[in-house]
Amino acid sequence: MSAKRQLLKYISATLLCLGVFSTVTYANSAPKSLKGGVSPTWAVLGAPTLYTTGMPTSTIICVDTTNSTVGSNPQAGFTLNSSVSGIELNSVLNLGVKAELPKIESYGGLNANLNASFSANAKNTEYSYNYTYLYTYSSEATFPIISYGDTNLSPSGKAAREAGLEAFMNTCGDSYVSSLRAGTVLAVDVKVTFQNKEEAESFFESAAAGGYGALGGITTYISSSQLAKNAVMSISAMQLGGTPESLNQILGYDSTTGGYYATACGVANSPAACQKTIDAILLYANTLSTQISGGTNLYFFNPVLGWYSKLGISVPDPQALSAETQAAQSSVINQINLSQSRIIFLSNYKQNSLPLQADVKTYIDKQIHTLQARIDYINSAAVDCFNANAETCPRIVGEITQRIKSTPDAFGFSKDNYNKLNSAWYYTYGNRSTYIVPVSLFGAYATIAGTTDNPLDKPGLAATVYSAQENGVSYVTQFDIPDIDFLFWGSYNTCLPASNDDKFATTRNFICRDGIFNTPTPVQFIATTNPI
Amino acid sequence: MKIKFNQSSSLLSVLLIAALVTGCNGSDNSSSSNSSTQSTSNTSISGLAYDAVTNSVFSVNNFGTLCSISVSKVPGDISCNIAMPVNIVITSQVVSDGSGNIYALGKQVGSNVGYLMQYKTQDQTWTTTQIQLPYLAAFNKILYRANKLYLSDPNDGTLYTITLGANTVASITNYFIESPAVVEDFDTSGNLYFSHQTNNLDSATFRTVLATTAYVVPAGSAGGNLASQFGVGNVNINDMAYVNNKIYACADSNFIYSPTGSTAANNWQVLTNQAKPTYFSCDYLTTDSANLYYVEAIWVDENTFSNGYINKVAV
Repeated sequence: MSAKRQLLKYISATLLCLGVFSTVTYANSAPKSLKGGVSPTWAVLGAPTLYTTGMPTSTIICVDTTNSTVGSNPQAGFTLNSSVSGIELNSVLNLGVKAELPKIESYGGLNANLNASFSANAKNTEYSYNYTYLYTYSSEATFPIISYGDTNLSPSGKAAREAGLEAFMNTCGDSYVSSLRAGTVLAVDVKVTFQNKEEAESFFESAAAGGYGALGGITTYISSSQLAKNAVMSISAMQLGGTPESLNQILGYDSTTGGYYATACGVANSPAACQKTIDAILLYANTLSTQISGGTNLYFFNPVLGWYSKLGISVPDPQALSAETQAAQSSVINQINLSQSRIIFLSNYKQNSLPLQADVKTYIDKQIHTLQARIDYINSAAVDCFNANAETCPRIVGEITQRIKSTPDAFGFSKDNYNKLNSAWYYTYGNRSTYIVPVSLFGAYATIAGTTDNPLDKPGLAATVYSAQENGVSYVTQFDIPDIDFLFWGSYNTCLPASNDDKFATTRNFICRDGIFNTPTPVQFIATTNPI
Repeated sequence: MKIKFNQSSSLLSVLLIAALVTGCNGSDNSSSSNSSTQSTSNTSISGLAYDAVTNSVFSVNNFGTLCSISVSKVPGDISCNIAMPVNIVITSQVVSDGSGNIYALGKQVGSNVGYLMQYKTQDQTWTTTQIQLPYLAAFNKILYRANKLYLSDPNDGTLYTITLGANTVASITNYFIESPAVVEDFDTSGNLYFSHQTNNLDSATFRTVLATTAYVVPAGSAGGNLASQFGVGNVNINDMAYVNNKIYACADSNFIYSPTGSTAANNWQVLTNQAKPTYFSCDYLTTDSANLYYVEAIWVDENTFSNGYINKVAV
């Protein structure tokens, strides 16, 4: 059975089981893992939530939703006419939207479901820029408030309340889903991936200055940019509700991304292929309304949260998390984001056609291995940081820190090696800027020299950087670089510190000689972040 | 005027090399300096060479210092405390002549003066001779065969040879059918094996896929089109060594091998590393004909990654 069919089955099962849930007694202890509870379709009427995260605390419905209704006149909401924010995307994907949680857009990465995977893929990185679009067609689903007080509780909610405030909060949270949308959603992400950070940064700046167009014009917009000529455009789409199997006829199924669909095309050499895919998606979007006719195959999204206390139920209003807990949550999210960005850099570095030497190749492989293990471990261990047990997060972070420290084989991170790879030098001779970037950890470098307008087009000439240490601080003693004026192609220049050089400065003054005429040429070498 | 060096003008190449080889008539039995011991816990080493006289394995660390470990101490950390000639650092990988001599290229610190370096493992003495090569010795691999050293230019397809004793340099342009090339090893017949990194674009993902293609050049030939592919080219090789009619290679988390005489149609076979059934790594390897000695990268602690750890596997 395909993932989509399972999803649809789950949607149907959820609707059918609402009544059953109302007869279940409250949970005696707090849920130990949220993973099982956070399916893409957790958002149903009455679902218990922790208000500060906007996410569910359990699957037990504590309010009486017996007379819930779904509107009979669905309307289009988002229509692929303009790109949406990460907050809007996460809201539609039921990934929580509470702005007070730092970097809430990253929060989706903590949940192992297809929606979270799509959201994580749609995040910008140092190498990629995303245009995300939504098409929604839905009605409002809600339930009436019949009175004021505990009579609004379901049998499970009443049982939990009678067991005490702590039991109620653990089971029912401090808030619930009071209304949401019911229908179908098509999410489309157009990701532009660049070959290096410099090209990506230049594109980011120009994109920030310009406007975002509709999905139909995005290929033209991207391919018209000279900055994107070496980029790869990949199109992903995910449908929730309706009959998403049809999407497979447009985009290939991608098992590596966990069930949504993706295809790639080169911006420079196949813009027509990109456009063809997008045109097909636009046509397909027009059929979505027919896929949920009769109120079948509905997906519930955009949950609006209500407070129990406002129903007259005698529980406290939602409380803000303590500063210590929020700091711990931030620490978890930052650690995951940091590890992910490091993996992206290392993966990109290995794939950049540089003549990497064995030590770097091995380091990259092993470092990616342990960074991914860190992410997986934190994802698993920090689940309680974002559910009803959030106040335990400081203790959890302490345990995570200790575990990572005590098992370097599994989770090690070499800051020294990483920083060496992420650093580079550049020098300018005439109008030509040349970067030299490390291809080993012991001084072998390669140039990324300009032969065209793009300074990063031509990789691969060997260079050597000699270093020494003084009081534990490294400094460069000599650069051997390809012939600086290209007069003798294949020869090289030896560059030694000039009399006015400061060996610990980031801008170094050197005198280069070609070994043939030995004419002294002053050259400044400037330390910089690796542009790749 | 732009002069195309080493590619189309072999005459100019020879003339320039002659001009650059300096001090060839004056070897220097250098006094040694006691360089401070470099811990291998956070350093990288490059290349590996087995010396039968001392039954040890040699390498060079990221400070250009010679390192060694007795095979009786393998597996273990290589030690980089061999006294170096005053003010000279190693700038290439090291190679053994099988008779107790380790050879390397070096450089005088803070100058453009290059050296041919010879270390007698039994006596623990250095001999250095000024020599200048017209390319960058950026820790490249070098080979030894029949009193000559063999090197490849990392920037083009030129093969350089240094005749030991005479210390003369010769070159063959366009020797490598693909460049940049890494010289890997000779077999007993004198055929030279080299590798080349390929960077192919995956048409489905538009991502670059790196792989290694190995070639073998007939003994004594001028290379070029006479080279033939050795084994399929879909592997990712770090280093190669000839052992008993087979070519072994470090490849991702495997040792692979293929018998001499293999062609592009022959798949590499996997040598199971019984000591490491799960993930391991191999940067460089050398052999005493019974074992492969290899550089394995390990985590020393939470923040420290080392590739100065030497391990072995029987062949």
